Amino acid sequence: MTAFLTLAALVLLLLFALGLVRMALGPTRADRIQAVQLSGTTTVGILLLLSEALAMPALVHVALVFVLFAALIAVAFVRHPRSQE
Amino acid sequence: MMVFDSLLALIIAALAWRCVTVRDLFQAIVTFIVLGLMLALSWTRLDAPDLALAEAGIGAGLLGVLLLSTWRVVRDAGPDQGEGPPPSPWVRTAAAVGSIALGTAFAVVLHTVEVDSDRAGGLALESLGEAGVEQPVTAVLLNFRSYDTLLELGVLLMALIGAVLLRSPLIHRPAAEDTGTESPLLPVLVTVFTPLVLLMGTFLVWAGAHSPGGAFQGGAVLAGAGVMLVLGGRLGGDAQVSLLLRALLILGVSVFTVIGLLLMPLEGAFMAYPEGLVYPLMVTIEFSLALSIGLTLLLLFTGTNGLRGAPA
Repeated sequence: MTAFLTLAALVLLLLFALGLVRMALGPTRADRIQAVQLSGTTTVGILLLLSEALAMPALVHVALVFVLFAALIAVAFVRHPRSQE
Repeated sequence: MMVFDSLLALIIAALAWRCVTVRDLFQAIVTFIVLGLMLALSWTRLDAPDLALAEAGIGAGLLGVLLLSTWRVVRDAGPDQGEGPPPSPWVRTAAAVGSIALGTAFAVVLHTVEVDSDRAGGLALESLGEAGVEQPVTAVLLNFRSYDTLLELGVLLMALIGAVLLRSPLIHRPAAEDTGTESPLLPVLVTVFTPLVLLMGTFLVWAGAHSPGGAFQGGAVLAGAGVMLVLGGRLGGDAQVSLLLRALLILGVSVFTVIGLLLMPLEGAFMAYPEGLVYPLMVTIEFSLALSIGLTLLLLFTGTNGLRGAPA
């Protein structure tokens, strides 16, 4: 079971690396922030898998903090939008 | 797991490289946030969930939001931050050679460091039973080296005072613009998420006694709740600082010091806690520290002396 979870985490990390391509390409800022949100979600997935695989329940807390701060980053980005972009 | 770690290290190196080389400020900020995510993962791989929590809360979360807000201010300030001519090749070569030499020296020295289990780390783990809490990191921070932690809080307070003194160029946009958010989603998001963030922060402070967490991580998450309210226009910076706010800012240092002093006649030493009372004392100290840390971070975010409620 641990081997399977580790493999799943590895696959997620690979997908994370793929998501970084979108972050680098853009082209708009909204695309980049979307890529950040995606990578945040992927990291949460990896953390949850690792917390089972490594028997470290505290990683669930780390994942929770990431979920909450991802929302915060989205809010920080959309605060008073400007039309000239 | 080997493949996972190698890939993680590769991604971190690539992200760090891109973060410092990319020309566009916004891209650099976005890369920095994602780098924070990966650093948190690497801390968990190094068996340091406490640091992963700190990185998640402060490194990726709070700092990312702060950088995004700063980017707005810098962009709104106009295109006057023109770049000077690029440094000459000689300067760049010298910088590169110097950095490589420093990096190599660090790598060599760190590689030859021998981990000695008789040192402080081993001692701390051995005497964990006397600390009153199960979590080694909290035991070290609040019991074995409480004096250092107290002084660190003093440093945090000084940092706030310094930042407030220098704040004027980076002050946030006036409230009229802050409340001009037109999306109907934002108020809902703020209403739903702020209590959750507060709950998580409080939980982390409390959890510090038996699992990773504690005043610093919890305080950062509490500050996150405040930042959410500021971004949603429910809370704003104010030039006036109220007495209550000042009291809360120094609450952590005061409670820490007063408990340490009051117990001196009982135990005969500054900051020695009597047996049996350790746990309640530590929790009291943790919560007062977290409140002060959270407020300090929030004020560093708003860059103002005080806070005020929503402009009705």
